[in-house]
Amino acid sequence: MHCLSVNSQNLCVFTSTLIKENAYLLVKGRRALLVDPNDSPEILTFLKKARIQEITIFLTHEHYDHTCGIPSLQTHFQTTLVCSSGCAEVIADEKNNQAKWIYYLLICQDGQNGTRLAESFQGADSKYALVPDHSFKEQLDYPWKGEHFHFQATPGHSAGSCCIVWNDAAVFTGDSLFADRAVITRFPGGSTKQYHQWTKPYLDALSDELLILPGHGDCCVMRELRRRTA
Amino acid sequence: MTNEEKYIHAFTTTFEVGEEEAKTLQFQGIPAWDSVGHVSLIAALEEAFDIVLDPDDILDLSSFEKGREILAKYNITV
Repeated sequence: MHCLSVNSQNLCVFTSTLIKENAYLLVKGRRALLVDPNDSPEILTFLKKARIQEITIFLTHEHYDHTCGIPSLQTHFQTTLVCSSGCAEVIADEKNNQAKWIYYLLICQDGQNGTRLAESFQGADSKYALVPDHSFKEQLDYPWKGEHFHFQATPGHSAGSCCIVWNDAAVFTGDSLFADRAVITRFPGGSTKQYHQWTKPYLDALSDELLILPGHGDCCVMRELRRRTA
Repeated sequence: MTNEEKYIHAFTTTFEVGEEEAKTLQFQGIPAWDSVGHVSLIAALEEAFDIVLDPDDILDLSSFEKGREILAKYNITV
C-alpha cells in the first residue's frame, strides 16, 4: 500500500498482487470511500484498524478484478455501492462474473512465459452477485463528506465502464484510460466503436491539470500523458 | 445454426475476419489473436457450445483446426 496526496488529502492505493489492480481508499473519520475494491487482504486489515463503520464503494466497471473485494467488505461493514446501470446489469447475475477471463489470461501468460501464475489465482470459481444502492445511465453527481464526485459513463473497455472526476482535480479512470498502456476494448462486452464515439471525446475534453488515477499502473497528470502520446 | 456455423461464427466475430480467413487462423498469426483475443475466443466458444474448457485445452487451442479436435473431446462435432 502507498499513499498519494490528492486534493490535500491522503489517498491510499492498494494494488493486488496477481492482477496488479489499483483500489483507492479515502478515509474521513469512521467513514471510508473505496474505488474498485480488489482482493488485497491489506484493505480489510486497514479498515478494521481504522475502526471504519461505513464504506461507500464506487465502481469504474464490472470486471472481476475491480469488484472481487466487495463480498468480503459487505460481510464486515455497512456499505453503499454506486456504479453505472450497465455495470449494475452485469454484476446482478453471478453467471456474469468474469473471474474466468482473468484465469484464462493467466493461463495464456503462463504458457508464453513459463510462469505459474494461474495456479496462484484463487478466484477462478468465484461466484457472487451484487446489487448497487445507486446507479446511473450516463452521468451522476455524488457528494460524499464534503467531496464532490462526478460520474460519467465511458463505454468501450466494457459496457458499464465509467470515469469518476473528484473535485475537478483528479479522475478515477478504471480501465478506460491508462498512463502507461493501451486500453483494451476487445473483451466480451467491450466496444472499440463506442470507445471512439463516446469515451475518447470525453477524455480528450478533460482538463490538462487532472490527475489520472487508473485501474492499473501508475498515476499521471493529464498534461504529461498528452505530452507523451502527442 | 449448425455446430460448424457456430464454430466459424465464434472466430469471425471475435477476430473480425471473413469465413475463409478464419479457417486459416493460428494463435498469434494475426494481431487480434493475442492473449486478449484468445480469452475472447474461449468465452465465445464456451457460450456457443455451453461448455467449460479445461486449462490444458485452453493452452492447446492454437489454431482453427486444432479447435475442432479439442471440441471433439467435449463430444461436439464440428
